[in-house]
Amino acid sequence: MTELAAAPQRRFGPHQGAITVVQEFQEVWSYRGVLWNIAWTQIHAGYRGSFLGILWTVLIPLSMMGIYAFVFGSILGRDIPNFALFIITGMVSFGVFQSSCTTGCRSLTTAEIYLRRVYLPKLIFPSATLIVQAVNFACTLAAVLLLMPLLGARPSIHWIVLPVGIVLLLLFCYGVIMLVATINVYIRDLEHATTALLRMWYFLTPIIYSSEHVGGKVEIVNNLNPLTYYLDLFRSPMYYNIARTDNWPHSGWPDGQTWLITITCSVVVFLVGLIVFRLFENKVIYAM
Amino acid sequence: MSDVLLDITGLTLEFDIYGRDKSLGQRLASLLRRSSGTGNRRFKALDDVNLTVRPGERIAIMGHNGAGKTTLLRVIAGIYQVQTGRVTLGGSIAPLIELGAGFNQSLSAKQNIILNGAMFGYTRKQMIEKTGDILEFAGLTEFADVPIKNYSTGMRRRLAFTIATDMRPDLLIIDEIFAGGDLQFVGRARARMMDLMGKANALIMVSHQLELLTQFCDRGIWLDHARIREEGPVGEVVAAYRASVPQAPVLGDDEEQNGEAAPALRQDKSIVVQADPDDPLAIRLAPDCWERVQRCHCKGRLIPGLLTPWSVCRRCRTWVNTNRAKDWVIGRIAQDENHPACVTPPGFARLDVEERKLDMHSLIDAMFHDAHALTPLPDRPSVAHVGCGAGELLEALQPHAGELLGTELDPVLAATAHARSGANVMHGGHEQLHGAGLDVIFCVDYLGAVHDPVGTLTSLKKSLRDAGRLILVEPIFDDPQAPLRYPAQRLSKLLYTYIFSRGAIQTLSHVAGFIDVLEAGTWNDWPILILK
Repeated sequence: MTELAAAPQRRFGPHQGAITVVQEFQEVWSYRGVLWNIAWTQIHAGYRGSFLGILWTVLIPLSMMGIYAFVFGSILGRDIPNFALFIITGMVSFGVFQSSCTTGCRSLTTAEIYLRRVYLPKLIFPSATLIVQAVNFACTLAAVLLLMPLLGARPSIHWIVLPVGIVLLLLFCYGVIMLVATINVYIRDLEHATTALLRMWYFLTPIIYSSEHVGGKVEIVNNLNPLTYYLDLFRSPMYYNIARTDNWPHSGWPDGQTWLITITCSVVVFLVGLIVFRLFENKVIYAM
Repeated sequence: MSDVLLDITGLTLEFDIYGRDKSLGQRLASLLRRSSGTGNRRFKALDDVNLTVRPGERIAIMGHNGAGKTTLLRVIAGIYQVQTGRVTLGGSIAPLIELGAGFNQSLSAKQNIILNGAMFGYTRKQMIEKTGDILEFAGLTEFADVPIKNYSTGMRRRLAFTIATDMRPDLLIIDEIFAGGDLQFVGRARARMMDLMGKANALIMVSHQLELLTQFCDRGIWLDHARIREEGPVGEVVAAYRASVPQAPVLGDDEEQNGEAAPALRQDKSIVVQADPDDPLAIRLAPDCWERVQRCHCKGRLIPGLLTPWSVCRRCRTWVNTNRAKDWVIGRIAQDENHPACVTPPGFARLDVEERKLDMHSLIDAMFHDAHALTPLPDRPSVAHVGCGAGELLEALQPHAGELLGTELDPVLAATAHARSGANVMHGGHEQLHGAGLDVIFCVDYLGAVHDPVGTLTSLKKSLRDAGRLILVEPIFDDPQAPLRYPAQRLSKLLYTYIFSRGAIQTLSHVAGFIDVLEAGTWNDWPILILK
């Protein structure tokens, strides 16, 4: 019988009762080993055994962008210069929101296997989903930036806005993930409803068209749609900085209204998501 | 650390038992139910439970199925948040509640050790240092890089137990941990538990094996319908609990009458034991999990062992189980009760670990009263038993034996076995049996525990008189370490010789390759009992 080696003191463990928001994030950080593992497993799981592996994270959106640019470029491209670049810059930011919604819905329900068996801070699961989305987003964005010279764009000073845009969009997504993850535990229909809603949302966001050109009711809806402004955060430095037409109000820098709306939206959605999540995180286990 | 490790006051936990009504159809159905008066009932899983645990205390929790034992453990482990009452935990905790909890099935044992460590609160670096020891104790060094989804249930359980005990928690929580391991591991696990207990760690243990509770724990708690019914010294509580439970069904009783499944000896001498659907460990072996594999995962040719299921790969030199896998991997155990492959073939029997005591009885019945026994035995033969599981086996042997002897390597087990069976149990190995003039020697898991099994086998034979019978249970292990530990080829040949020349050895095994050989031999009418 081998003697059990002396164990170093562990730093934390399960606890009962409520903790503050700060403590909660500290706890997630102390369980970061598990967090990375869950995130990494999710990134890996989909592509296990495939030859190109994680490259598919980039290839799938890029191929979609390519085909959209080709088809809609022929239909709608006459009024919009450099239509491929226009559509790609729109899709890349909508894409991260879209997949955050769909994977966010499942982030607690698929964690049932952990929730029922071991103690883990619940916030780990939406956080892992966010990490996965962030990694995918970063990969896709990097690929788009690399491809931009092919589309006639050059690196520009305007790109310095991108990191801020990424943070705002991911903060918004984090809130959405926490919100839908919690709701989906109680109302599992949400997962299916999301698919339909996102399809509608996609067309109500000026991704494959420009609001100014369509005008009318669509433009009004576009202006009420927060994602329009998130799109602008990315489209301004990557597209509007080079593609100019006479009557466009856009420049290479996002305007004040865009900043105001995106910052407010991100903060509010994040806080609402966090509050709802914290209200229910200790109760979801009973609804599984 | 404070004086009190765990303090539970007035803990009440309720479940919404219709909580799963999610779809429109179910909602409508529950509306109808409600109108018919059944209502949306809430179920009390725990009702005003109070418990204080101090460092060094060992607490046994017993009670019928659904009494709230596991729920209580889950609350302590932080899985269920407290609804009413208060739970204060003043130290670290390692819960072993569900098999493979916190394992990621697609990761290897090594990666899972690190992941599990992260869940227990250890850094990657700390865990990497422990990995070697953990794998060695669990006997999984050879399989460190195999994804654990390819492990057998027993291997997974061994890994989970080893990790949890290696955490050196202030409070270790165990739910039926010994139920799934093979006899050999159970022996080692007990020793490790003893070691851990000596170091003032507290333990909370749930088990239906009351002897185990008595052995390990000092305080007993009897949970009955979500409430603590009795609390006190473990011996008294166990006695009270035992007195409240009706006697276990006798072998051969009508199954339907008992409700709970009792193993019944069928006409074709095979024994069928119903598994407990709630218990994931009550697994069944299905014949179709024994497909023979020809190639290693590296596509290398395999050099097969004659009787062992373990073959070595010519190219990468890893050990591959050729029998129990459809894949190149380690064992696939069919868990689906209704799987057509799970039908017991004639002459085969499937026995579940959970029912070990009854299994032993039926098994021994079959062994002693079989008409095809190659060597006739006297009316009341003198019987000896070597190896693990001494207590249960000796007890089961009692009605058949004139003289009853036993040996046990572990002094604690030897004492327990003596107390239970009244048989003369000697502390030590088979050498103790020399000159005892025995008719039968039962040898359970023993050959794997000694360094020279071939020599041991020969010497065991000498301990028997000419007319004697040697019954080997699991002489070849389903243990990845085993082929490395002893020359399996030589042992196989030796057994072969005994089987065909003298017919004096009976063998019980759950290693399929071994059974294949026996079946191909002259023992076609012999019931082959597969003990899992």
